[in-house]
Amino acid sequence: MSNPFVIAAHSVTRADLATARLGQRFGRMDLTCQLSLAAVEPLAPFFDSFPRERIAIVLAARASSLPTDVMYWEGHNEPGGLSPTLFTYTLPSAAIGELAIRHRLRGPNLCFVSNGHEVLSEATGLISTAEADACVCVFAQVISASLTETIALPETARADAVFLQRTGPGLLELGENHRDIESLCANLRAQN
Amino acid sequence: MAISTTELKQNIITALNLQDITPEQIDDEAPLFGAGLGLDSIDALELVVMLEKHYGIVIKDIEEGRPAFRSVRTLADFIDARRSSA
Repeated sequence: MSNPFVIAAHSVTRADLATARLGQRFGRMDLTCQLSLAAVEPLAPFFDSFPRERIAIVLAARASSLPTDVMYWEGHNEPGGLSPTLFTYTLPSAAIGELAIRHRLRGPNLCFVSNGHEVLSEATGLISTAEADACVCVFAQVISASLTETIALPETARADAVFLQRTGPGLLELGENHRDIESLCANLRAQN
Repeated sequence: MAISTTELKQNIITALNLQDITPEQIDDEAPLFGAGLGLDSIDALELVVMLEKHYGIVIKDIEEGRPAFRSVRTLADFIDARRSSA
């Protein structure tokens, strides 16, 4: 079976969120969810070619939900205590849930805590085994300033998103040299 | 002194991170949950936190707060009643 095709790709940073208006729930989401939704939003028109239960989601979060976990815990000395809203985002898979709600996606999903290198290969696997016809791929990197020393990564807030489907032509056919979603998005941006 | 519903609405907007909504757009009598402002159960818990943080009112049983959370008006009345009985 051939490799899936990249139909669209988009990347965002924290600066892009200032003008993002993605529904009433958006304001209460944590940064990982906001970045993931903002990165995926321009890909949404392509979803209409598929039944929603045939579109998978594969997401990797570079630092899991650690930045949100810290924010949540810092609230324990506040009057009124810990935030119930923030609690719902203390799992890296929360962004998958928000994406599924916003775009009514009901296909299989996978969540990784990693550098994102398995996102495209796992999405390829879901499509090649016919578990899905298309896949929303997301790599969210949120490292807050307070965590840079603890986890030895630079402060960052960005997300890369790619929409894959079984057939082309699209932007390109995914090949052996396209295994890193962040590099793939950077290359596509450079071509444009 | 009775609580200002405008101030209460602003505290609700801030606590729930409601985007693109101003106090003027919220009807004092409109339902907070469901058809009105469209809040959900997580928002209800966040409102409980907001009441303690801003008004020093502790709701230990969510059933106790249920009637108060019908609208901004009922919530303002609830806050006034709790304050006057303290």
